[in-house]
Amino acid sequence: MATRKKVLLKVIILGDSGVGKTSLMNQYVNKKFTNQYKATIGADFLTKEVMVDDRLVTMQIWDTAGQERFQSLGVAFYRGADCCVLVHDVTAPTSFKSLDSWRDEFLIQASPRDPDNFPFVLLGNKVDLENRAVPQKRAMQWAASKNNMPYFETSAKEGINVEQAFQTIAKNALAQETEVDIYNEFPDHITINPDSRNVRNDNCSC
Amino acid sequence: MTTLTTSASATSLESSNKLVCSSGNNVYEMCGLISGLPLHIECMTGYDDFVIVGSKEGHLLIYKITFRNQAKLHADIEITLSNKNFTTAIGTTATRKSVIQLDVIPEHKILIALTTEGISTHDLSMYHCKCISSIDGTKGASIFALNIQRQMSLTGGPSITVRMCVAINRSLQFYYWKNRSFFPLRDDLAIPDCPRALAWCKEVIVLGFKNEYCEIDMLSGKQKDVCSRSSKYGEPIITPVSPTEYAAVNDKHCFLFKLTNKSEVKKSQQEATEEKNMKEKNPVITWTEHPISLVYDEPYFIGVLGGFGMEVRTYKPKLKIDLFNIAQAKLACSPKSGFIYVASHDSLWALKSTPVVAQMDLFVKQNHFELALGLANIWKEVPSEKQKKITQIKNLFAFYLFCNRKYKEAMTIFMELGTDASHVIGLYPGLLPQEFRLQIDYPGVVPELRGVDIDGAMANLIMFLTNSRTVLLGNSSQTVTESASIVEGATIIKSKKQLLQIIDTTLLKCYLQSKESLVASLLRLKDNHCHIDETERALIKHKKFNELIILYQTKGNHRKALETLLKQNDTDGVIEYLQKLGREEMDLILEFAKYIFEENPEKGLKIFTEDLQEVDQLSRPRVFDFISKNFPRSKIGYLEHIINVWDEKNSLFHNALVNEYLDKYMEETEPSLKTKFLETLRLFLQKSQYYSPEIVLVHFPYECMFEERAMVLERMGRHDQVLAIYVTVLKDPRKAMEYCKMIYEKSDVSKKEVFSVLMKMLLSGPTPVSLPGLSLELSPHVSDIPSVMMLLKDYAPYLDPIQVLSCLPDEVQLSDIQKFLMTSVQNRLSEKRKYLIQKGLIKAEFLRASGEKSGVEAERFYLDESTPCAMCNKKIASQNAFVRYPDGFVLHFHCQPGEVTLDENLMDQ
Repeated sequence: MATRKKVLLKVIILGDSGVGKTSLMNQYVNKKFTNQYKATIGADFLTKEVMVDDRLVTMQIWDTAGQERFQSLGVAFYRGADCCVLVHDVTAPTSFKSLDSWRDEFLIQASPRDPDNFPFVLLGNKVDLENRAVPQKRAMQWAASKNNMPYFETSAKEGINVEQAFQTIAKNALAQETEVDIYNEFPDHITINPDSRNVRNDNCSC
Repeated sequence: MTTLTTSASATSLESSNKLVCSSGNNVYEMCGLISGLPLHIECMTGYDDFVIVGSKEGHLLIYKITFRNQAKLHADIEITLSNKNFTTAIGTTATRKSVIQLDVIPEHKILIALTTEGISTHDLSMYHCKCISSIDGTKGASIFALNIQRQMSLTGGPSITVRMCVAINRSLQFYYWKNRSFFPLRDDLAIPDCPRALAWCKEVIVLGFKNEYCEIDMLSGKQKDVCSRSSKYGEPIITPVSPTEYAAVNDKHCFLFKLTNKSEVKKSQQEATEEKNMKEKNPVITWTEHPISLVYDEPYFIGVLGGFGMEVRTYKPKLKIDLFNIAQAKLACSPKSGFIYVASHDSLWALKSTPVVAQMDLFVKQNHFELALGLANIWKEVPSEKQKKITQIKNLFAFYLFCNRKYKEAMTIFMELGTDASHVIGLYPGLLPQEFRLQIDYPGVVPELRGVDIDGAMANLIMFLTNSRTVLLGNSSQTVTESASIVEGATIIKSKKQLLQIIDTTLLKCYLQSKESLVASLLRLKDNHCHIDETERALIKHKKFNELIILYQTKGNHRKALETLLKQNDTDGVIEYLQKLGREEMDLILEFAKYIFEENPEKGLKIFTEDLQEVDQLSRPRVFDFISKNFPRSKIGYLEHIINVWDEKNSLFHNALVNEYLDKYMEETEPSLKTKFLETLRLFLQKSQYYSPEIVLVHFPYECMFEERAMVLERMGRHDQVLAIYVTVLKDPRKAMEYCKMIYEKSDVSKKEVFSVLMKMLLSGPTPVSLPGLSLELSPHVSDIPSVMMLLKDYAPYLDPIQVLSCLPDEVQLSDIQKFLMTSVQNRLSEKRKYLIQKGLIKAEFLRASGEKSGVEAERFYLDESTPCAMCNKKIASQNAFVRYPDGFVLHFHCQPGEVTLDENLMDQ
């Protein structure tokens, strides 16, 4: 079966600088956390094999630079992504505000086949901290308004919800991937010889 | 030894050659050099401007050929050597031997000749090309191959390594060149047959046998079959193409082989890809007839087809480029790029390539762009000029691809080149303004996009545009310098801003056509440069009003956005928009909020009460001011929201809400609603901590709402007034007592007296100050003895008996107050006992402390001159005050940290 081949899912994590994109990825893949902040330069990825609905898939998780000065990722980087993970810091309202532009940026750059149904997942990180500023309700409202994207409140530090969130990410990414497969089974387009059509048009009496 | 004079024959040939040259693509010009030599040419080689010819008779001829640039190709031929006794010095016998093969090491000016006596080396710079030595053990060799590797040495000079492989019968010998002579390199390798063709590429020897080609790894000696060949058609031919590629001929076909590098490729991958790539890696050139000699002069293969002249062909793409009808030709060599010498058994011709630029233009005209680009490799030109030309060709190529509906490939090239986006956009219909589009020239007719093509073409344009904008935005300079035009020299857009504007506006139009849901995303991007008017027009045309709003919003034209929303009667849209504007746009918010309020006050209120950060931060006094001036009916709703939901603490709003409730209550006539408001007011008066009672009280009516007034007075601490209301107005002594109990606090002077105040009030009525301004007809006060009795009975502990007795009227029976007195006395007694115990305890504590104190005072310690202060480490002088801590540390008085406790620790020395 065509869909039973080895699957590689490309997942891209986006969000403002310092919201914990790298930490989330590290927590998920390596089960490690450090309080030290180190800015990501460009992009970096880790892979992890996961079981989704009895299928073994390889997740390639791309961690990106949140700081503008390190962003030089072109169209090619975003192309072929299967899922996009948006991250904000629940103690930083500006990071929540930026979500819209991260999402737009991604859609423009990746230009997915079906932008309306492309899988996004929203993560509100750092819920372990006391000084929370983005209410859960507000984040949920936003996620709901964007085609009901799943929302998880996570803590990369405590490992809260990280596993669940990435499981959902893998699942949604896989759904997207299989959909693309279906698309690919059809040829790109059927070329009708324009000349022959013209001839028919001419002959047609209507 | 004689020298031949051939100048006469050379000139006579020139005229006849014109006939031979066929009309094809003029990539080579041909001219005859020598004809009718009285010799049989056996082999030929060349270097620089020299052609070296060896004959069957053992004659060696060297010509220097210089070409003159005239209308027609003309060559000056100079004989630099003609030595018919060339071979006599070789070997043991002084006879002439046939020259089988010749080769040159140009850097060392060394000629290597293979004769029937074997390999010999000759010095080209010496008189008559004198033999240096001949290699022993090579007699009977059939063929040899040189491998010359040119490198830059560490000191920067060129260094070359020369190796030679010689085939003798069924073995291969290996030599290397050092100090003007060949030395054995390794042991001989045995091979299955006597090779007819031989080539050395990198570390691999390629052998052509009668029936097959095979490769031998020079280092390991491992043999690998390449392909079999049919022995019917001539001899095998192997021609090196690049250091890692060679071509081999079989019948009319010519195959290209690439050396596989085993160490780099992993085994599993190799297996999978090998078969797949087999076809791609070995492109076939098919000649008209089987070649007898083959030369590769990048990017052309020149095949000498026995008896059928010569063909020039390319393999990428497979093209027949040219044909030269030199029927007799049998040998060809290319000593340097662009020059090919061809020999028959007694004549010589030269092929000189036309200027590379001309060739490139030629192929561009024929749409063979890949070939034209390949030619750039051999073009000797300054890099900048070369790059310019390549860019130009690539642009034309991309245009060609576009015209042939290869949109993806075309766009990839445009992207790579950074072609001016406006030129690319112009290829698509209806994306650029008409007048602007007409200014752009294209190399050909731009095809009209139709039907299914449009989607594919559009998707690729989107890719091109998104890439271009990313590149542009990543570039910090304000002008664009590197972009190219499709047609050479056409005007390009230099201003980065203008270019971005075109790109973004076009991207938007593309989205409108194929990916509508991305329109909003694009417009929301902070750095979008969409041209406002153009975008506005496009969006209106497509009826994309939501997106239009986003456009106005991102461009800061909020008024226009709101007006559009209003025009569409999108009340919710307006509300949502206003909610997101934030406090900076307060004026605008209020202006448009008016419209909404007029239509639907409840919805209007949402503008100021939505649970959004922006709404939360609006200036509440201004909003309240606005609402109370224009839409007073919505006041309560707003106040309730900010107080109950947002925890507003400003007393202004709390006061206002109290007043609102009051007014509502007063205005309302429906009894059920009236009581409801009263209830709300009471609840609020109890709950709210922030209203200012003094201000609120002013608005309270004097003829009713006494209980509520009492609540406000209570907040003010006017307990006597509260009690006066309970006693005289409401006539509810029980409630007054409950109130007293709630308020009573023993330690607070003002609250301690409440019960006495109540009792006095019950007996003699309130003092005039207690009920200021209440316009109530009060009946003259009658002492309420039963209530007093009840008070005395229930709240005895809270009353001072002396005060009570002094103010009780005389008619009260002692028996009536028996219980009160007894309770009072008991209370006093228990209080007394309590104090006694307390006294005893304090005394005991005092004794203990005194004992401790004398213990501490009895302690002694010594200080001398050397005792340092624990803090500053200086000595404590005799007149200094100092501090000693219980743990023995001694400090200067002024050095001690924190608070000072003088009496206990200060001592004089």
